[in-house]
Amino acid sequence: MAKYLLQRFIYMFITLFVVASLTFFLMKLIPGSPFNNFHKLSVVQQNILLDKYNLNDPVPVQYFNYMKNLATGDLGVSFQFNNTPVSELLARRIGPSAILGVQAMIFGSIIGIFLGAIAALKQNSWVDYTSTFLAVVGKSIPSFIFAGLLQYYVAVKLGWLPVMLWRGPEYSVLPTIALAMFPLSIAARFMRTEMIEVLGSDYITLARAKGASFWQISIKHALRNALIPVVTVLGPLAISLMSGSLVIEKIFAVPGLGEQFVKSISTNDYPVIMGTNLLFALLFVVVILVVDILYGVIDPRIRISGGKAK
Amino acid sequence: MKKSKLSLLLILTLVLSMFLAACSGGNKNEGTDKKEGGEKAPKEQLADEQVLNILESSEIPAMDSVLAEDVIGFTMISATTEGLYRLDPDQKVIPGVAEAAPEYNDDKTVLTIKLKKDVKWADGSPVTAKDFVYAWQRAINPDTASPYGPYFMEGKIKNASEIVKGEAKIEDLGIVAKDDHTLEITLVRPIPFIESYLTFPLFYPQNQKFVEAQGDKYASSAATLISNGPFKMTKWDGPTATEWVLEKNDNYWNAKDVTLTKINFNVSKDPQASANAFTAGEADITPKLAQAAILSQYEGDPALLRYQEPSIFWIKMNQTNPALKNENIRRAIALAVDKQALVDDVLANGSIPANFVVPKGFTFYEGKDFREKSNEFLKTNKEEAKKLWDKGLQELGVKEVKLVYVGGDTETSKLSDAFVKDQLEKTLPGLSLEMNAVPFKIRIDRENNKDYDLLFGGWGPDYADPMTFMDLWLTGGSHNNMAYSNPEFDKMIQSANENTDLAKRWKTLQDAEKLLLEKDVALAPMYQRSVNLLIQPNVKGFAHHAFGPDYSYQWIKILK
Repeated sequence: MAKYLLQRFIYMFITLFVVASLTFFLMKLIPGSPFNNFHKLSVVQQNILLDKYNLNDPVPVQYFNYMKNLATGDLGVSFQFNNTPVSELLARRIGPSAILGVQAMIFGSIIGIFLGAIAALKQNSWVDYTSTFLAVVGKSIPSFIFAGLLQYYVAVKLGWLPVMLWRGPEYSVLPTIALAMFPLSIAARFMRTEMIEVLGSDYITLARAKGASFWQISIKHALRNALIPVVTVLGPLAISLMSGSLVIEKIFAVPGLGEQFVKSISTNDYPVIMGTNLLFALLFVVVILVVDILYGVIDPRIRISGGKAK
Repeated sequence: MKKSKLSLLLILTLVLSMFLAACSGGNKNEGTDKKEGGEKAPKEQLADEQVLNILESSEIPAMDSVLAEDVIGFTMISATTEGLYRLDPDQKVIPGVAEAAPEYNDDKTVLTIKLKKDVKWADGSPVTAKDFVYAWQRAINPDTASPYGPYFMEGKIKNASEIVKGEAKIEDLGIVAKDDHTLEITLVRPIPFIESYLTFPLFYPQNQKFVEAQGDKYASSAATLISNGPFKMTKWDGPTATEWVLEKNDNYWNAKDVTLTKINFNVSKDPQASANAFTAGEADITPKLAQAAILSQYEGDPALLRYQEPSIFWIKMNQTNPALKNENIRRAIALAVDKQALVDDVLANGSIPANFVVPKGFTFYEGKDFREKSNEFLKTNKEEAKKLWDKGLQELGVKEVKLVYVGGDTETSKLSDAFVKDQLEKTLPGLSLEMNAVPFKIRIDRENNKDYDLLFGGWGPDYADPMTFMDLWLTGGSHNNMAYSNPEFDKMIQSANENTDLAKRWKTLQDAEKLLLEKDVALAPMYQRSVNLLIQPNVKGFAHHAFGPDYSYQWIKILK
C-alpha cells in the first residue's frame, strides 16, 4: 500500500508540474494586458507598469521565476484585485464554492442513487418512469434556467428563502438545489443502468435461491456492486462542483471561485489564472486517488496491490 | 451537457419564454401595489431608518485614490474622501476642502486655492495643503506605478511629463503648499475645464502620516483607510470582498447635510437576479441594467430610473484599407444603418441615435449644451447611401467589397452587430462583412494594431469637456488607430487647446466636429447609451455623474 501511494504521489507531482507549465505558456498566448486602462497610457507609462511587475522579461525568464516562487509556495499577487496575494484570494473564495459543491454533491448523489435504485428495482413501473423523467429533465434543463426559476418562484414569489447573497445556511439552500440537479440526474441514470445489470447477474440469482430477502439482496448485494461506476463518474464531477459554478454563483451572488476564475482569464490576471488552475488540478488528482482507494472499500474484488484480503 | 444541441436549445427556448412571461406578469402587479402605497404616505417625511441597501456589479479593485482606475473605486473613494471640489447633483462644481473657486493669474496658468480651516480627517487631524501635495506627488512618482496619475497630469500639470521621463524631480511638480491652507497649482497651459477636472478622485488629498504608517497595507481594507468625506468605510475586507459598509462620518465638515446613517453594499453580477432581489425588497438600488429583456418587465414602473450617459458608440473605419480610404464608401457606410431602429428595436433601453461624437447633455457653456448649436451629421439616409456606394465602387473599379468587422462578444453587442451587418449588406449591394466577435481586451489589441476594417467601439469621457471626445482623432493620436489624418482638423484642436477665449474655443470645437463627421466622414457614430437602474421610489436625492464617480450618495434621503 505504501509503495503504491508513493508511486501515486510521484505521478501526482509530475501531473501538477505539466499542468503548471502548460497553463503558463498557454496563458501567455492570450492577447491583451492585465491592466485595466492600458490602452490609454503612453508607451513610457506602459513600460513603467510592465517593469514593475516583471512583465517585460522574456517569457522563459518569467516562467523560470514563477516556478521558482511556486516551489517556495509563493503564488504571486493578483492584478485585478490590487496586489492581493493569490493564496489569500483563493483561501477566501474556495469556502463558499466548496460548501455549495459538497452540499450539492451529497444531496444530489443520495437522491440520485436512491431514485436510480428504486427505478431499477421497480423496473417499468410508474416509479421507474417518474424517476427517469426527473433525471432527463434534470440533465437537460440548463442550470441557469433552473436557478432562475427557483429564485423567482421560491424566493421572490413565495418569499420562503432569500433571493441572493451569502450570509448563513438558509442562503445556501437554493443554490445547492440548483447545483444538485446535474449530479442527481447523472447518479440516477448510472445507478438505474448498473442496478438492472447487477440484478440480472448470477450471484443475485444464487442469493435468491439461498432464500435471501428482497431487501437483503437489494442493499447488501446489488447496491454495493452497482455503486462502482457511479463513484467513478461522481468523483471528477465533485471537483467541477466544488471548483465553483460560474452561473449558479453569479445568479445567487455567492462569493465563490467560479466567476472569479472566468474573470481572471478575461482580464489577463496571470497569477490568479495560474493559482486557480493549479488548485483545481491538485483537487483533481487527489480526488482521483481517493476514488481509486474507495473502489477497494466498495468492492472487495478490487484490491490495490500489496493489500491484504480480509 | 452532451445532449443533442437541438433538443437542448428547444427546451431552453421553451423554458426561457415561460420564465420571462411569468416575470413580466408578476412585476406589473407589484408595481401598481407600490404606487398605491406611495400615495397614501405623506410627502417629504423622513423614514425612521436611514439605511440603504445597494447592489453593485463588481468588487472594489482599489480604494487608494492614486491607484484606482475604475468606476466603482472612484465612486467609493468620492463617498469617503473630500477633494478640493466635487460635483453636485446638477453636475455643477461646488467647493469641498477648497473655500471657494480658485483665483487665477493673468494668463490663467497659476491657480491659488484657499482651503477651509475646519476640515478634518477621521482621526481628528486637519486636512492641509500638504496632504494634496503629498497625494499628487505620489500619483506622478514612477515608483507608485499609478495608471491614471501620469494620464491625468501629463501635458496639464507643470513638470508632470518631465517627471515621467525622468527629466525632473518629483518635488518639481506644479503643486506647492504656500502655507497649511493655501495651495498653488501651476499648469502647462490654461485649462478651461480645470475646476471640474479637479473633482476627479486622483486629485484628492492623502494623509501622509497615515499612508506611510500603513505602508503596503494602506487602503487594503476598511481598517487601513482614513476618511475625510461624507461617509467612512466601516466594513471592507479588501479588493476581493463582495460586501462592504459605509457609515455617516460625523467628522465631515458638512455632516449636517448628510441624512443617511448607513449604506450596505453587496455585489451581484447577474442583472436578472439583481432585479429579482429588488422586487423582493432585498435591495433599494440595483446596478445598471442594460438588457432589453429585463427592462421590458419594468417599463412604466416608477422604480425605473433612466438617463442618458455621455458614452458614444461608433463604427471606426480603418483607412489603411483602400476601399475605406474612399470617402464615398465611408459616407455610404455611415448613412446606411437605420440608427433609430437600432436603438428602438435592438437595444430597447432608452439609448438615442448619435449623429455626433460629443454626447448630448454632457458639456455646457453658459448654460447651453454643446449639442444645442451644433448640427447633427451623418443622419441615416439609405437612398443617398446606395448612390454614394455605387459611385465609390466605380471609383475603386470593383463590384464587391469584403470587410472584416470587429465587434464585442457580449449578448448586447452581438445583437447590435448582427443588426448592423444586416443593414449594411442589404443597403449596400456587393458589400460582405466577415464578423469577428471578440472579448474587450482583444478588441483593444486589434484596434491598436489596426487589425480590422470596421470596428464597433465606444468612448466615455475622462473629464467634462468636449475635448475628451475630440483630441482622439489627431493625426497619429494613440486612439486614432484608423489612419485618419487631416492637418486642418489637427490645427483646430491645437487652437482650441491654446485658446483662452471660451466662446471662440467652443465654436472651434464645434467646427472641428463638423469637419470630422460631415466633411471627412472619419467614423460612423451609431448611438449614445442610456443608463437604466431600479431605485425604490421613496429614495430621493440620488445623484449620478458623467465622469469619475458614477454616483453620489450624500444627498440621499429615504422618505416614508
